[in-house]
Amino acid sequence: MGSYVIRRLLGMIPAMLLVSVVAFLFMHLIPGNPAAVRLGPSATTDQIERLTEKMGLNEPIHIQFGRWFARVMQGDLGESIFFQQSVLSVIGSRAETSILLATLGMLVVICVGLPLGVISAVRRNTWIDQASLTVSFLGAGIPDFWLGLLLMLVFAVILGWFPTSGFTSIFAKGGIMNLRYLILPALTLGIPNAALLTRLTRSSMLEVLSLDYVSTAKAKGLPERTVILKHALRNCAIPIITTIAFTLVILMAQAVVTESVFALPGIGRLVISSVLRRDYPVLQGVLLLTAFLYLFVNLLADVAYGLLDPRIRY
Amino acid sequence: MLKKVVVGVLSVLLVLSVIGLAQGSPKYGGTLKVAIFDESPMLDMSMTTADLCTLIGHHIFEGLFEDDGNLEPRPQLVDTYEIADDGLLATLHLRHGVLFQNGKEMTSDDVLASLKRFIDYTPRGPLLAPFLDHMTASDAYTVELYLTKPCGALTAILAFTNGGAIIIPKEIAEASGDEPLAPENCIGTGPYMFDSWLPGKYLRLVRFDDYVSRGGDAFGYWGARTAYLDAIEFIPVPEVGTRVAGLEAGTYDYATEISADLFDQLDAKADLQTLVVNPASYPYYIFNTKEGIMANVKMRQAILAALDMTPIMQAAFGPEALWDISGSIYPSSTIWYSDAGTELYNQADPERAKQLAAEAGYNDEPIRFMTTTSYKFMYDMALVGVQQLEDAGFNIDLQVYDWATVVSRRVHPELWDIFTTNDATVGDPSIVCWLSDAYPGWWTDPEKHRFVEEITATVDFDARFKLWEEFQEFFWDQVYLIRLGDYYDYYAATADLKGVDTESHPVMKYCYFWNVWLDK
Repeated sequence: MGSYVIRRLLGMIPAMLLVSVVAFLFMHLIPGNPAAVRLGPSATTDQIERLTEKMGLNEPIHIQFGRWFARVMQGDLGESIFFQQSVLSVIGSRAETSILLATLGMLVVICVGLPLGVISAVRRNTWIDQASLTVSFLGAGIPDFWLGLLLMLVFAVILGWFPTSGFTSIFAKGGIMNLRYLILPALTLGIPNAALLTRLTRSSMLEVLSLDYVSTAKAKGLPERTVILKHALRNCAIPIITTIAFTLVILMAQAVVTESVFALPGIGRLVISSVLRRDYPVLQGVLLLTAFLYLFVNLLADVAYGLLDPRIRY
Repeated sequence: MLKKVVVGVLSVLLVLSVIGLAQGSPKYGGTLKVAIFDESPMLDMSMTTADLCTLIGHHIFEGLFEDDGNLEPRPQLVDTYEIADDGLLATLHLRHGVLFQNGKEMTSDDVLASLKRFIDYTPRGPLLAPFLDHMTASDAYTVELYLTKPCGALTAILAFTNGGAIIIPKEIAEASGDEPLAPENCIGTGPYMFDSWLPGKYLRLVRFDDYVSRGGDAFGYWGARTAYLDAIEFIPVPEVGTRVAGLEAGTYDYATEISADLFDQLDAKADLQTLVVNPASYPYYIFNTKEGIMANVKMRQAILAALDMTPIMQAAFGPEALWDISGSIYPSSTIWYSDAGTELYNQADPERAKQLAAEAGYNDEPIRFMTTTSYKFMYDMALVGVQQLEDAGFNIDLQVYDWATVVSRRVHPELWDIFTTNDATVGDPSIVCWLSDAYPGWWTDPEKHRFVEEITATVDFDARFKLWEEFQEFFWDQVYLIRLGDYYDYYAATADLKGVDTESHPVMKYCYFWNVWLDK
């Protein structure tokens, strides 16, 4: 296992190199000039040109890439054009929100999606199954933008149970209680993904429940709970873990809409605003980190397969 | 007679007491939470013309002059001033005892260093640079500006808030050079000062306790300022729905950039107030006069003839309270308002358009019309206008981009024929941005140069106004751009915010939170 993990980690290097080249090229293919954004709409062409030159954005793209890449190799992702701070600190200041939001969203996904999928499969073709099917179709079909605004309207504006927006940090005034700002966003993020997990868990469980060993387990008199949770569910684990792992990355890096709706200072919103501001260094930094996250989570999922399924050996 | 006087006095007292009851007496304290749609690129409001930076920055910094509620420049950090008879020397007497937020007193040296930085490095510096020969300080509180030629717009340029000529301590002005001031170096003379900035979360200003107010009256950005609030937090909230929901739920006290379609709904709520900005801004279509099909003035006149402004303004700005049909370059609430030449505005005559296009030799060539979805009103005003132009027989190639792309494409004359944009009304005609030769559209007509030079160099207002009226006739005849009408932006605030939208504190382009208080 150890050598497998090392091989995989080494394999990540060419993938990251490829991502860095593609990220850099694509960013610079988008028309638009960050100098013009920084100086505002009334700046003269001459002033924009001067700032562009000062930022080094008028040099040939391979020279810009070379300079950027040399810095990345030293662990320096450069400086944000818009914030005039290091990219790492810009991303770092957003990371707390994204990690907390993804964790809470994941809790919603697992706590809602998994049990609902198992119950649906076990009580197949009953009203419970039908209801869960309807709810999960609705959950997967509702646009997150609309769901977020709906939750905000009901639970924040009308009932006043939660704030509409305004999360800063759990280390700021209010401490852990500040997590209340993240409950509605976590539901917005979690519900559609929980619906998908419900459907996946249900179909995997149905497949397993029809296998002989489950009938054997039942025949030898094991309680139903043990049959389902210990024998059946464990054998569905591989696709479920794959889904959960990638949902986690999606929740962390792609919560763009939810973060915008609830005005959360997360990485998803940083990406969108950086595109609009043409803040290339931040975009490149986020893309690199996201790619790394994907590869790393993929590795974790593969390791988990091996631990859960004794037939899989690396 | 005595009876009339008594009745008169009593009536005035009654009106004042009603106003007093409505607004209450000012209270100190509280934090005002302002939901803004994005982050400001920086806090140094002289280094960018981005509106958000001005909106935040003008609480920290002040200018030598500030615009009043009618956009007339009046002395702010300057106490009194004289312009020599030949118009070549302006002597500015500074107020004594004005303190920077680092505790230092403002003197002539700070003003000289700040103005030098403004001229050398900022986007608005080129407005003043051609007029300024040199400047000196004759004592600690007197600055002399020696001009190369008379400048009727001198005080207007110094009062221009957006990208404004702010006064900062000499050491900071000299050390920063062409770099924007770092937030911790944002030291001004304003009533609020920088406290903290967590990008993506909030930017916080706090009251400057030792602020030295001008005293006396206040009107618009000009005059006496009192910071009643303990702090102001500017919070980026990108979604308009969230800004409005947050306002309704009490999370925010003030929200900016709210779409026109929500106006009636918010206006009807008792616990909120809508604050309509006046003077108006104006949206326009601007033509590429440098190259391509629109370099032909007949084609521009043909486009103008085809347009019916009412449906365009209605689609873009919704409720009638938020727009007006007007061909005057300056709105009616300003001293520059005139209807000269406006008979050519809003013709809605497709037949005439076809005739003019035929005279121009138009042969169904595609007209590249750039707009953006980044600002919904621009997209809407483009869609309706394009439909009208197509109905009048023009072949329009509508190109939709995000705003940053429009900004990058519009500097290349080979890429476009028309694009949509908008402008706020500014204090003086000579600082209107599209009058610059360098502005995309490249209007370099010698007659335009003559007008701009004469208006700028003339000091007497009546003579300037006459020139401006002549210019406006020329403007509608040459159709460098098509001004579509007036639109009134608006803000929404909790009813607990007092002191806003009054005679001395009219709602202006950049909301301002001195002389207002929270009554919670």
